[in-house]
Amino acid sequence: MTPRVRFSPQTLAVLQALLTDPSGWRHGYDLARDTTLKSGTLYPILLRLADRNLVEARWEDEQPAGRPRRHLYRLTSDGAAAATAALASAPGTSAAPRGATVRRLAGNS
Amino acid sequence: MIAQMTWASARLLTVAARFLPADKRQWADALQAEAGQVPAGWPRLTWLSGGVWMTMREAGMARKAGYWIGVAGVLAAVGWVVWLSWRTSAAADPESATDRVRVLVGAATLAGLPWVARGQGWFGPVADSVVARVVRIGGGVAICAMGLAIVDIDKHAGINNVVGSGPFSWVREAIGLVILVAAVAAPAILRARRPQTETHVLWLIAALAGSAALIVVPVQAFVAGVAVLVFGATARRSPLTPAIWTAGLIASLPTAAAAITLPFALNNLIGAMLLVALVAMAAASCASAAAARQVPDAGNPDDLRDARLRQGLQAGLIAGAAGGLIAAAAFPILGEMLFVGLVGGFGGGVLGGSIVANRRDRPAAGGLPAARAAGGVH
Repeated sequence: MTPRVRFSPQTLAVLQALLTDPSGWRHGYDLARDTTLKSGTLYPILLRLADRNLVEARWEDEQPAGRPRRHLYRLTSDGAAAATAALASAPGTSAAPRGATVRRLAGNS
Repeated sequence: MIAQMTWASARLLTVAARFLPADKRQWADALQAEAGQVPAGWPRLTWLSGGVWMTMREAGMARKAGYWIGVAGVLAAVGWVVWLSWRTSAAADPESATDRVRVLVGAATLAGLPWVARGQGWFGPVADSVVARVVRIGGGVAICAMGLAIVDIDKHAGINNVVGSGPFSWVREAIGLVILVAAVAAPAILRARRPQTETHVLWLIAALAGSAALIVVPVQAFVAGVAVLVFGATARRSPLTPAIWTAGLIASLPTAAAAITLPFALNNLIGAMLLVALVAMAAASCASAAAARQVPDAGNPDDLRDARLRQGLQAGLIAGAAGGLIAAAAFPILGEMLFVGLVGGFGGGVLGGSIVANRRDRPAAGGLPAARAAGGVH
Protein backbone atom coordinates (compact mmCIF):
# COMPACT_ATOMS: atom_id res chain seq x y z
CA MET A 1 0.00 0.00 0.00
CA THR A 2 1.33 3.45 -0.95
CA PRO A 3 1.57 5.78 2.06
CA ARG A 4 -0.48 8.98 1.86
CA VAL A 5 2.01 11.87 1.55
CA ARG A 6 1.47 15.63 1.14
CA PHE A 7 3.38 17.19 -1.74
CA SER A 8 4.28 20.80 -2.45
CA PRO A 9 2.75 22.46 -5.55
CA GLN A 10 6.16 22.25 -7.26
CA THR A 11 6.44 18.52 -6.54
CA LEU A 12 2.89 17.98 -7.77
CA ALA A 13 3.85 19.74 -11.00
CA VAL A 14 6.80 17.38 -11.48
CA LEU A 15 4.64 14.36 -10.71
CA GLN A 16 2.03 15.57 -13.18
CA ALA A 17 4.64 16.05 -15.88
CA LEU A 18 6.01 12.56 -15.30
CA LEU A 19 2.50 11.08 -15.18
CA THR A 20 1.67 12.25 -18.73
CA ASP A 21 3.74 9.28 -19.99
CA PRO A 22 4.37 7.03 -16.98
CA SER A 23 6.41 4.45 -18.90
CA GLY A 24 8.53 6.98 -20.81
CA TRP A 25 11.87 8.33 -19.66
CA ARG A 26 12.18 12.14 -19.34
CA HIS A 27 15.29 14.25 -18.94
CA GLY A 28 15.79 17.20 -16.60
CA TYR A 29 15.63 20.09 -19.06
CA ASP A 30 12.50 18.61 -20.63
CA LEU A 31 10.85 18.49 -17.19
CA ALA A 32 12.05 22.01 -16.38
CA ARG A 33 10.42 23.39 -19.55
CA ASP A 34 7.24 21.46 -18.85
CA THR A 35 6.89 22.63 -15.27
CA THR A 36 8.59 26.05 -15.63
CA LEU A 37 10.68 25.15 -12.58
CA LYS A 38 14.26 26.37 -12.18
CA SER A 39 17.02 23.77 -12.00
CA GLY A 40 17.69 24.63 -8.35
CA THR A 41 14.09 23.67 -7.52
CA LEU A 42 13.58 20.80 -9.94
CA TYR A 43 16.62 18.69 -9.12
CA PRO A 44 16.17 18.63 -5.32
CA ILE A 45 12.57 17.51 -5.95
CA LEU A 46 13.74 14.72 -8.27
CA LEU A 47 16.39 13.74 -5.72
CA ARG A 48 13.82 13.49 -2.88
CA LEU A 49 11.38 11.56 -5.06
CA ALA A 50 14.16 9.14 -6.04
CA ASP A 51 15.15 8.74 -2.35
CA ARG A 52 11.56 7.75 -1.60
CA ASN A 53 11.49 5.32 -4.53
CA LEU A 54 8.73 7.29 -6.25
CA VAL A 55 11.01 8.10 -9.20
CA GLU A 56 13.66 5.91 -10.81
CA ALA A 57 16.67 7.41 -12.55
CA ARG A 58 19.25 6.09 -15.00
CA TRP A 59 21.83 7.37 -17.44
CA GLU A 60 21.33 7.02 -21.19
CA ASP A 61 22.77 3.70 -22.37
CA GLU A 62 24.47 4.94 -25.54
CA GLN A 63 26.91 7.83 -25.79
CA PRO A 64 25.17 10.27 -28.17
CA ALA A 65 27.23 12.22 -30.70
CA GLY A 66 27.97 15.83 -29.81
CA ARG A 67 26.58 15.91 -26.28
CA PRO A 68 27.07 14.14 -22.94
CA ARG A 69 24.82 11.31 -21.81
CA ARG A 70 21.66 12.48 -20.07
CA HIS A 71 20.18 11.43 -16.77
CA LEU A 72 16.65 10.11 -17.31
CA TYR A 73 13.69 9.88 -14.96
CA ARG A 74 10.33 8.15 -14.77
CA LEU A 75 7.80 7.22 -12.10
CA THR A 76 8.01 3.89 -10.34
CA SER A 77 4.77 1.96 -9.84
CA ASP A 78 4.58 3.36 -6.27
CA GLY A 79 5.31 6.81 -7.68
CA ALA A 80 2.56 6.55 -10.29
CA ALA A 81 0.06 5.47 -7.61
CA ALA A 82 1.14 8.26 -5.25
CA ALA A 83 1.06 10.84 -8.05
CA THR A 84 -2.40 9.77 -9.19
CA ALA A 85 -3.75 9.91 -5.64
CA ALA A 86 -2.09 13.27 -4.88
CA LEU A 87 -3.24 14.88 -8.13
CA ALA A 88 -6.78 13.57 -7.67
CA SER A 89 -6.98 15.38 -4.35
CA ALA A 90 -5.57 18.61 -5.87
CA PRO A 91 -8.54 20.09 -7.81
CA GLY A 92 -8.19 21.25 -11.44
CA THR A 93 -4.84 19.66 -12.23
CA SER A 94 -5.59 17.21 -15.05
CA ALA A 95 -6.84 19.21 -18.04
CA ALA A 96 -4.95 22.50 -17.74
CA PRO A 97 -1.99 23.48 -19.95
CA ARG A 98 1.26 22.13 -18.50
CA GLY A 99 3.23 25.38 -18.41
CA ALA A 100 0.83 26.94 -15.92
CA THR A 101 0.77 23.92 -13.62
CA VAL A 102 2.94 25.30 -10.84
CA ARG A 103 1.21 28.68 -10.62
CA ARG A 104 -2.21 27.03 -10.57
CA LEU A 105 -1.21 24.42 -7.97
CA ALA A 106 0.33 27.11 -5.83
CA GLY A 107 -2.93 29.06 -6.09
CA ASN A 108 -4.94 26.00 -5.01
CA SER A 109 -2.85 25.17 -2.01
CA MET B 1 30.02 39.04 -19.69
CA ILE B 2 27.22 36.42 -19.57
CA ALA B 3 29.57 33.94 -21.25
CA GLN B 4 32.24 34.46 -18.59
CA MET B 5 29.68 34.14 -15.79
CA THR B 6 28.34 30.95 -17.37
CA TRP B 7 31.86 29.53 -17.57
CA ALA B 8 32.50 30.50 -13.93
CA SER B 9 29.20 28.90 -12.81
CA ALA B 10 30.11 25.68 -14.64
CA ARG B 11 33.51 25.61 -12.92
CA LEU B 12 31.91 26.37 -9.54
CA LEU B 13 29.41 23.55 -10.05
CA THR B 14 32.26 21.12 -10.82
CA VAL B 15 34.11 22.16 -7.66
CA ALA B 16 31.00 22.19 -5.42
CA ALA B 17 30.01 18.72 -6.66
CA ARG B 18 33.14 17.32 -4.98
CA PHE B 19 31.64 18.23 -1.60
CA LEU B 20 28.52 16.16 -2.23
CA PRO B 21 28.25 12.67 -0.74
CA ALA B 22 29.19 10.03 -3.36
CA ASP B 23 25.59 8.83 -3.76
CA LYS B 24 24.37 12.33 -4.64
CA ARG B 25 27.18 13.37 -6.96
CA GLN B 26 25.36 12.01 -10.01
CA TRP B 27 22.68 14.69 -9.58
CA ALA B 28 25.21 17.46 -10.08
CA ASP B 29 26.65 15.53 -13.05
CA ALA B 30 23.12 15.19 -14.48
CA LEU B 31 22.48 18.90 -14.16
CA GLN B 32 25.78 19.71 -15.82
CA ALA B 33 25.14 17.24 -18.64
CA GLU B 34 21.83 18.99 -19.39
CA ALA B 35 23.44 22.44 -19.44
CA GLY B 36 24.62 21.97 -23.02
CA GLN B 37 21.00 21.55 -24.15
CA VAL B 38 19.85 24.75 -22.45
CA PRO B 39 19.99 27.78 -24.80
CA ALA B 40 23.21 29.75 -24.35
CA GLY B 41 23.11 33.08 -22.53
CA TRP B 42 20.88 33.94 -19.61
CA PRO B 43 18.89 30.61 -19.57
CA ARG B 44 22.09 28.53 -19.35
CA LEU B 45 23.54 30.83 -16.70
CA THR B 46 20.41 30.51 -14.50
CA TRP B 47 20.39 26.76 -15.10
CA LEU B 48 23.98 26.39 -13.87
CA SER B 49 23.48 28.86 -11.01
CA GLY B 50 20.51 26.78 -9.84
CA GLY B 51 22.79 23.75 -9.97
CA VAL B 52 25.40 25.48 -7.81
CA TRP B 53 22.68 26.45 -5.32
CA MET B 54 21.32 22.89 -5.21
CA THR B 55 24.78 21.40 -4.78
CA MET B 56 25.74 23.77 -1.98
CA ARG B 57 22.47 23.09 -0.18
CA GLU B 58 22.69 19.32 -0.55
CA ALA B 59 26.32 19.30 0.58
CA GLY B 60 25.44 21.42 3.64
CA MET B 61 28.20 23.81 2.59
CA ALA B 62 26.74 26.88 4.31
CA ARG B 63 26.63 24.93 7.60
CA LYS B 64 30.18 23.64 7.13
CA ALA B 65 31.45 27.09 6.15
CA GLY B 66 29.87 28.54 9.31
CA TYR B 67 31.56 25.87 11.41
CA TRP B 68 35.00 26.47 9.90
CA ILE B 69 34.62 30.22 10.36
CA GLY B 70 33.89 29.44 14.03
CA VAL B 71 36.97 27.18 14.22
CA ALA B 72 39.09 29.96 12.71
CA GLY B 73 37.66 32.38 15.29
CA VAL B 74 38.56 30.04 18.16
CA LEU B 75 42.09 29.58 16.79
CA ALA B 76 42.46 33.36 16.50
CA ALA B 77 41.30 33.69 20.12
CA VAL B 78 43.83 31.03 21.16
CA GLY B 79 46.58 32.98 19.39
CA TRP B 80 45.49 36.17 21.12
CA VAL B 81 45.59 34.57 24.58
CA VAL B 82 49.06 33.11 23.87
CA TRP B 83 50.24 36.56 22.75
CA LEU B 84 48.79 38.19 25.88
CA SER B 85 50.50 35.68 28.16
CA TRP B 86 53.83 36.33 26.43
CA ARG B 87 53.38 40.08 26.64
CA THR B 88 53.01 39.94 30.44
CA SER B 89 56.31 40.91 31.99
CA ALA B 90 57.94 38.75 34.62
CA ALA B 91 58.35 41.82 36.86
CA ALA B 92 54.60 42.46 36.98
CA ASP B 93 53.74 38.84 37.41
CA PRO B 94 56.08 36.37 39.13
CA GLU B 95 53.86 33.60 37.78
CA SER B 96 54.25 34.64 34.15
CA ALA B 97 56.21 31.48 33.24
CA THR B 98 53.55 29.30 34.87
CA ASP B 99 50.84 31.23 33.02
CA ARG B 100 52.60 30.72 29.71
CA VAL B 101 52.82 26.97 30.26
CA ARG B 102 49.15 26.85 31.26
CA VAL B 103 48.09 28.79 28.18
CA LEU B 104 50.31 26.70 25.89
CA VAL B 105 48.91 23.46 27.33
CA GLY B 106 45.37 24.81 26.82
CA ALA B 107 46.17 25.86 23.25
CA ALA B 108 47.80 22.50 22.47
CA THR B 109 44.79 20.68 23.93
CA LEU B 110 42.34 22.69 21.83
CA ALA B 111 44.36 22.22 18.66
CA GLY B 112 45.49 18.63 19.20
CA LEU B 113 42.67 16.83 20.99
CA PRO B 114 40.41 16.44 17.90
CA TRP B 115 43.26 14.47 16.28
CA VAL B 116 43.73 12.00 19.17
CA ALA B 117 42.37 8.58 18.09
CA ARG B 118 40.64 10.31 15.19
CA GLY B 119 40.21 7.00 13.38
CA GLN B 120 38.06 5.77 16.25
CA GLY B 121 36.14 9.06 16.41
CA TRP B 122 36.64 9.71 20.14
CA PHE B 123 37.20 13.48 19.96
CA GLY B 124 36.92 14.24 16.25
CA PRO B 125 35.68 14.75 13.63
CA VAL B 126 32.65 16.73 14.79
CA ALA B 127 29.22 15.04 14.71
CA ASP B 128 26.99 15.84 11.75
CA SER B 129 24.52 18.11 13.52
CA VAL B 130 24.23 21.87 13.90
CA VAL B 131 23.95 21.69 17.68
CA ALA B 132 27.16 19.60 17.99
CA ARG B 133 29.04 22.16 15.89
CA VAL B 134 27.67 25.08 17.91
CA VAL B 135 28.54 23.38 21.22
CA ARG B 136 32.06 22.56 20.02
CA ILE B 137 32.71 26.16 18.99
CA GLY B 138 31.07 27.45 22.18
CA GLY B 139 33.23 25.12 24.28
CA GLY B 140 36.36 26.38 22.51
CA VAL B 141 35.33 29.98 23.20
CA ALA B 142 34.68 29.12 26.88
CA ILE B 143 38.15 27.60 27.24
CA CYS B 144 39.73 30.66 25.60
CA ALA B 145 37.75 32.90 27.97
CA MET B 146 39.12 30.96 30.96
CA GLY B 147 42.68 31.27 29.63
CA LEU B 148 42.21 34.98 29.04
CA ALA B 149 40.88 35.52 32.55
CA ILE B 150 43.74 33.53 34.13
CA VAL B 151 46.31 35.70 32.34
CA ASP B 152 44.38 38.87 33.14
CA ILE B 153 43.86 38.13 36.84
CA ASP B 154 47.39 36.93 37.44
CA LYS B 155 49.14 39.93 35.90
CA HIS B 156 47.65 42.38 38.41
CA ALA B 157 50.11 43.17 41.13
CA GLY B 158 49.00 42.22 44.62
CA ILE B 159 46.71 39.36 43.68
CA ASN B 160 49.27 37.00 42.24
CA ASN B 161 48.88 33.31 42.79
CA VAL B 162 45.07 33.59 42.74
CA VAL B 163 44.88 30.54 40.48
CA GLY B 164 48.44 29.39 40.94
CA SER B 165 50.28 26.67 42.76
CA GLY B 166 53.46 28.33 43.92
CA PRO B 167 56.66 29.26 42.09
CA PHE B 168 57.38 27.95 38.66
CA SER B 169 58.87 24.46 38.50
CA TRP B 170 59.92 22.78 35.27
CA VAL B 171 59.89 19.40 37.00
CA ARG B 172 56.29 19.79 38.18
CA GLU B 173 55.13 21.05 34.77
CA ALA B 174 56.88 18.19 32.92
CA ILE B 175 55.47 15.51 35.24
CA GLY B 176 52.01 17.10 35.01
CA LEU B 177 52.18 17.14 31.23
CA VAL B 178 53.14 13.46 31.04
CA ILE B 179 50.26 12.50 33.36
CA LEU B 180 47.82 14.67 31.37
CA VAL B 181 48.84 13.10 28.06
CA ALA B 182 48.51 9.67 29.67
CA ALA B 183 45.01 10.50 30.95
CA VAL B 184 43.81 11.59 27.51
CA ALA B 185 45.68 9.24 25.18
CA ALA B 186 46.24 6.05 27.17
CA PRO B 187 42.63 4.76 27.00
CA ALA B 188 42.49 5.39 23.23
CA ILE B 189 45.88 3.75 22.62
CA LEU B 190 44.96 0.80 24.85
CA ARG B 191 41.63 0.30 23.04
CA ALA B 192 43.41 0.42 19.67
CA ARG B 193 46.13 -2.06 20.72
CA ARG B 194 43.89 -4.32 22.84
CA PRO B 195 40.30 -4.04 21.58
CA GLN B 196 39.12 -6.63 24.14
CA THR B 197 39.93 -4.29 27.07
CA GLU B 198 36.83 -3.70 29.18
CA THR B 199 35.38 -0.18 28.97
CA HIS B 200 35.33 0.26 32.76
CA VAL B 201 39.11 -0.45 32.84
CA LEU B 202 39.66 2.39 30.34
CA TRP B 203 37.49 4.73 32.43
CA LEU B 204 39.40 3.74 35.57
CA ILE B 205 42.79 4.48 33.93
CA ALA B 206 41.55 7.86 32.66
CA ALA B 207 40.05 8.74 36.08
CA LEU B 208 43.21 7.81 37.99
CA ALA B 209 45.52 9.70 35.62
CA GLY B 210 43.12 12.67 35.55
CA SER B 211 42.98 12.82 39.37
CA ALA B 212 46.78 12.71 39.58
CA ALA B 213 47.03 15.52 37.01
CA LEU B 214 44.49 17.56 38.97
CA ILE B 215 46.77 17.38 42.02
CA VAL B 216 50.03 18.15 40.18
CA VAL B 217 48.84 20.76 37.63
CA PRO B 218 45.27 21.73 38.61
CA VAL B 219 44.63 24.48 36.05
CA GLN B 220 45.96 22.51 33.08
CA ALA B 221 44.06 19.40 34.18
CA PHE B 222 40.86 21.42 34.57
CA VAL B 223 41.17 22.95 31.09
CA ALA B 224 42.07 19.59 29.53
CA GLY B 225 39.13 17.98 31.34
CA VAL B 226 36.72 20.59 29.96
CA ALA B 227 38.16 20.09 26.45
CA VAL B 228 37.78 16.32 26.75
CA LEU B 229 34.13 16.76 27.82
CA VAL B 230 33.34 19.18 24.99
CA PHE B 231 35.16 17.33 22.19
CA GLY B 232 34.08 13.88 23.40
CA ALA B 233 30.42 14.91 23.64
CA THR B 234 30.39 16.51 20.19
CA ALA B 235 32.44 13.91 18.29
CA ARG B 236 30.93 11.70 15.62
CA ARG B 237 31.11 8.70 17.96
CA SER B 238 29.12 10.49 20.67
CA PRO B 239 25.71 8.91 21.40
CA LEU B 240 24.16 12.33 22.14
CA THR B 241 21.26 13.18 19.82
CA PRO B 242 19.96 16.69 18.99
CA ALA B 243 16.96 16.00 21.30
CA ILE B 244 19.31 15.33 24.23
CA TRP B 245 21.40 18.41 23.44
CA THR B 246 18.38 20.68 23.13
CA ALA B 247 16.82 19.56 26.43
CA GLY B 248 20.17 19.71 28.25
CA LEU B 249 21.24 23.10 26.92
CA ILE B 250 17.91 24.77 27.69
CA ALA B 251 18.03 23.39 31.23
CA SER B 252 21.63 24.59 31.66
CA LEU B 253 20.55 28.24 31.62
CA PRO B 254 18.95 28.35 35.13
CA THR B 255 22.00 26.50 36.50
CA ALA B 256 24.35 29.00 34.86
CA ALA B 257 22.31 31.95 36.16
CA ALA B 258 22.34 30.52 39.69
CA ALA B 259 26.06 29.69 39.54
CA ILE B 260 26.94 33.23 38.46
CA THR B 261 24.66 35.19 40.78
CA LEU B 262 24.40 33.20 44.04
CA PRO B 263 28.09 33.26 45.12
CA PHE B 264 28.10 37.07 44.91
CA ALA B 265 24.57 37.54 46.30
CA LEU B 266 25.05 35.26 49.32
CA ASN B 267 28.74 36.05 49.88
CA ASN B 268 29.01 32.47 51.12
CA LEU B 269 30.60 30.06 48.63
CA ILE B 270 29.63 26.81 50.38
CA GLY B 271 25.98 27.88 50.77
CA ALA B 272 25.93 29.07 47.16
CA MET B 273 27.39 25.77 45.95
CA LEU B 274 24.68 23.81 47.78
CA LEU B 275 21.94 26.00 46.30
CA VAL B 276 23.47 25.79 42.81
CA ALA B 277 23.57 21.99 43.13
CA LEU B 278 19.86 22.00 43.99
CA VAL B 279 19.01 24.31 41.08
CA ALA B 280 21.13 22.15 38.76
CA MET B 281 19.38 19.02 39.99
CA ALA B 282 15.90 20.49 39.51
CA ALA B 283 16.69 21.83 36.02
CA ALA B 284 18.49 18.64 35.02
CA SER B 285 15.58 16.46 36.16
CA CYS B 286 13.26 18.44 33.83
CA ALA B 287 15.71 18.06 30.93
CA SER B 288 16.16 14.39 31.75
CA ALA B 289 12.42 13.72 31.77
CA ALA B 290 11.92 15.63 28.51
CA ALA B 291 14.75 13.75 26.78
CA ALA B 292 13.69 10.37 28.16
CA ARG B 293 10.18 10.86 26.78
CA GLN B 294 11.66 11.18 23.28
CA VAL B 295 12.84 7.55 23.26
CA PRO B 296 10.64 5.62 20.83
CA ASP B 297 8.98 2.42 22.03
CA ALA B 298 10.49 -0.47 20.05
CA GLY B 299 8.30 -3.01 21.82
CA ASN B 300 10.58 -4.40 24.54
CA PRO B 301 9.74 -2.77 27.93
CA ASP B 302 13.17 -3.57 29.43
CA ASP B 303 15.02 -2.03 26.47
CA LEU B 304 12.72 1.00 26.60
CA ARG B 305 13.37 1.49 30.32
CA ASP B 306 17.16 1.22 29.88
CA ALA B 307 17.13 3.60 26.91
CA ARG B 308 15.04 6.17 28.80
CA LEU B 309 17.33 5.99 31.84
CA ARG B 310 20.41 6.40 29.64
CA GLN B 311 18.99 9.28 27.58
CA GLY B 312 17.70 11.02 30.71
CA LEU B 313 21.07 10.73 32.42
CA GLN B 314 22.87 12.13 29.36
CA ALA B 315 20.52 15.14 29.17
CA GLY B 316 20.92 15.75 32.91
CA LEU B 317 24.72 15.65 32.70
CA ILE B 318 24.68 18.09 29.77
CA ALA B 319 22.38 20.45 31.69
CA GLY B 320 24.67 20.44 34.73
CA ALA B 321 28.00 20.52 32.89
CA ALA B 322 26.96 23.24 30.44
CA GLY B 323 25.54 25.39 33.26
CA GLY B 324 28.77 25.05 35.23
CA LEU B 325 30.92 25.67 32.17
CA ILE B 326 29.08 28.88 31.28
CA ALA B 327 29.65 30.15 34.84
CA ALA B 328 33.32 29.11 34.80
CA ALA B 329 33.88 30.80 31.44
CA ALA B 330 32.24 34.02 32.65
CA PHE B 331 34.07 34.01 36.01
CA PRO B 332 37.03 31.57 36.14
CA ILE B 333 37.13 31.86 39.94
CA LEU B 334 33.84 29.93 39.79
CA GLY B 335 35.58 26.93 38.20
CA GLU B 336 34.31 24.67 40.99
CA MET B 337 30.78 25.29 39.67
CA LEU B 338 31.58 22.88 36.84
CA PHE B 339 31.89 20.07 39.40
CA VAL B 340 28.82 21.31 41.29
CA GLY B 341 26.86 21.39 38.02
CA LEU B 342 28.02 17.91 37.08
CA VAL B 343 26.99 16.50 40.49
CA GLY B 344 23.58 18.24 40.35
CA GLY B 345 23.15 17.24 36.71
CA PHE B 346 23.94 13.63 37.53
CA GLY B 347 21.37 13.60 40.34
CA GLY B 348 18.72 15.30 38.22
CA GLY B 349 19.50 13.05 35.26
CA VAL B 350 18.96 9.92 37.32
CA LEU B 351 15.79 11.34 38.93
CA GLY B 352 14.06 12.56 35.74
CA GLY B 353 15.07 9.50 33.73
CA SER B 354 13.85 7.14 36.47
CA ILE B 355 10.45 8.85 36.73
CA VAL B 356 9.84 8.57 32.98
CA ALA B 357 11.39 5.10 32.69
CA ASN B 358 9.19 3.68 35.45
CA ARG B 359 6.05 5.43 34.25
CA ARG B 360 3.40 3.11 32.79
CA ASP B 361 1.58 4.30 29.67
CA ARG B 362 -2.08 4.92 30.53
CA PRO B 363 -4.39 2.49 28.71
CA ALA B 364 -6.49 4.15 26.02
CA ALA B 365 -10.23 3.48 25.62
CA GLY B 366 -9.65 0.15 23.87
CA GLY B 367 -7.18 -1.03 26.49
CA LEU B 368 -4.07 -0.27 24.40
CA PRO B 369 -1.25 2.03 25.55
CA ALA B 370 -2.07 5.57 24.48
CA ALA B 371 0.81 5.88 22.04
CA ARG B 372 -0.03 2.67 20.17
CA ALA B 373 -3.72 3.51 20.03
CA ALA B 374 -2.81 6.85 18.42
CA GLY B 375 -1.02 5.21 15.52
CA GLY B 376 1.95 3.33 16.88
CA VAL B 377 4.54 5.16 14.77
CA HIS B 378 6.89 7.51 16.60
